[in-house]
Amino acid sequence: MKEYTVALAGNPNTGKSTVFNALTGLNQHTGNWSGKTVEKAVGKYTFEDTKFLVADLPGVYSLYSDSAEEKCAKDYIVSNEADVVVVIADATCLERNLNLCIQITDIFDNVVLCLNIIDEAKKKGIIIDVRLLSETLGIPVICTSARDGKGIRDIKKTVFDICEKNIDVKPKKLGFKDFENEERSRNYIKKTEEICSDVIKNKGKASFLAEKADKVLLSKKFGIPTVIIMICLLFIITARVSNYPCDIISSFLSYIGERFEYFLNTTPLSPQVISLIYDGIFTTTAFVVSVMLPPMAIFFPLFTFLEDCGFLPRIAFCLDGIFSKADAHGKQAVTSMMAFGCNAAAITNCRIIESKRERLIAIVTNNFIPCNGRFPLIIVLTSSFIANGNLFIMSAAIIAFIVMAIGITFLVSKILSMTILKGMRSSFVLELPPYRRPQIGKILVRSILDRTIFVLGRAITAAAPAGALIWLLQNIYVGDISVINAISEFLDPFAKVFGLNGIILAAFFVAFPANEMVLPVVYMCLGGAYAVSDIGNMASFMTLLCENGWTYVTAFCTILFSMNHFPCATALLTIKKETESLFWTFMAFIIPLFTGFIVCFTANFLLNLI
Amino acid sequence: MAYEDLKCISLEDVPLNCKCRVNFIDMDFESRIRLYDLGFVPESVIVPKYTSFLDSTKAYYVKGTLIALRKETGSKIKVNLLKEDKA
Repeated sequence: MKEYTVALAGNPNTGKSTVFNALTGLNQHTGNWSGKTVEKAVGKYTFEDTKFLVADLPGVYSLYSDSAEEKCAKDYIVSNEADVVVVIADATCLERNLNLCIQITDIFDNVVLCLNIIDEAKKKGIIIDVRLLSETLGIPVICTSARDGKGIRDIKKTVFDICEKNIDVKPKKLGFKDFENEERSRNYIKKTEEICSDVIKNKGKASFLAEKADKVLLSKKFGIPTVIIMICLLFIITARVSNYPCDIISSFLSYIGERFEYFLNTTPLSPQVISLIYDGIFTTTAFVVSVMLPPMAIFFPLFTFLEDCGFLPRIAFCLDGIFSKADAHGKQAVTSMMAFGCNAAAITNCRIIESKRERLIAIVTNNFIPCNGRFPLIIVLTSSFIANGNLFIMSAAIIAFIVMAIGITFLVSKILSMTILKGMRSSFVLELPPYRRPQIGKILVRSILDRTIFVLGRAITAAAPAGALIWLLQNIYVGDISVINAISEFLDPFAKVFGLNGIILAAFFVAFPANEMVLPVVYMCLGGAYAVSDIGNMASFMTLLCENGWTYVTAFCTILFSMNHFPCATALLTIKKETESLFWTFMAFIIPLFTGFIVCFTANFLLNLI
Repeated sequence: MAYEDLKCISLEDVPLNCKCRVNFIDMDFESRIRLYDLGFVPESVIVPKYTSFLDSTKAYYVKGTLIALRKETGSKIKVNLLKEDKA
């Protein structure tokens, strides 16, 4: 079977990834947000018994800037690896998008222009003379609405015809590519304006609703309150809704657990091994899945919904003022917001920050935002020791903790940018894309599926080994005490300085693979339960903690240490992958830990004065 | 009728919703090209639409899209105000 290569090029946020998914049937992450695709994605499709390899290039505005994405796109096109380059342009703002197309036709022949989002352009009353545009450029022009799959077959047919030489593409060469840098850019832009003034017969009108929404969301007065309401709603819905699936999954896993235990007892395995497998590995994994999966599966679809609608760049715009004071990037607002769901996912998302310095600040400080895995500890201890069950005090205290986390993020960002990450603030350029109707069905299927795979993957790679480790530490004895208790006793004098105790500090280290394990490990060390999943009765848990010398100071310091300590194993591995630097991985480990010790020491000192 | 004010001011100083025309960009080549690509090219018409909390960032309507720039970038884009002729 013959095989050809097709490259998809275009400005950021023109729907390249959507076209890529429609062509290949793959699920490349898409979002109404410029710069989602940061590295080349590759997929395949077959048309008329011919194989096509599709390369989705990063979104670029021009081929002649110095950014890594632009170099990658240009090098790929110049290398002649592709048989055809399909330039995806947003039909609602052709003038901005056509510039790249004429730059490409100047260096490459087999080019097809795809006018995507044509349905929205029509709704706005934009009229483009497609035939004239095709004649002017000397290349085929196809109208598509990739979200609905419209025009995708036309792309496949045209690409096939070009590859099979059924169509001879002869783009009109402008010859600007050899000009001096500035002259070249200005000539391309001038030519784009000329072409657009000929082919765009009606420029259309901006959407009334979108303008109204922007007047609220982007306004100086209402912008930030609206963002705060949005974030609060995100949390409330996540917390409220996730209770039900948490209970269902927990009951289901208990039922499976009973069967599994019964099965294990029928095997010739020794009682010790059965206990290791069931009490150590199975129950720990089951606990992580039932506690983590529902909030993740609810938080992320909601987050993707905001992303798809086009709210995220607007949130970044609203909060940029505050972030600029900390010498950080406005887009850090979005990565920080995502961190409430999962630090590891948010660290990957830091790729949207173009400047390396500000990206590193965002990565290193990301861990100061408490994720889903740490919230249960914060909520349980706040409710029991600080609010004594009073819902109002509890909500106020949790909001205060979140504000504190954000404050520490700003402070550490500022310190980093004044010390080891000293340098010029990069220019903040952010495209605020039009609001788009979210693809709810796709969001639900993709987010829930993605998150389920993520949580299950984490359960297998982190929670299961951690479960085995906890069991071993608890069941191997040094003299007459277990290893975990020996470690706790060793750490106790040091931990006391920070308002903690040896068991708490040991629990944080043991729970390194998964943050959500801290409280269950404390519970087990105090002899409250044989297995992690037994932590069902909160009242008895609190009594147990109080009997073991816990006061509100201990609880307060434990909350602070939970918010300010090293990232979990998954987040740390992601940091290593994203920064490709052991130094920055180490810094991301040590900075929050050091901050945690300072914060806890100060809190312990002050609270003991009262 | 609209006429162009000959006095060159920075884009940062243009009041919200007032049209202006880009004259030149006082930045290094790379930054200039990046801004050209986004539509901040000499002769193009720009309208500042929104300003963020603490006034550090503004959103400009340029070539059919809203683009946000920080104060330090906006102050380096020199423009001429387009004023409505009262007569």
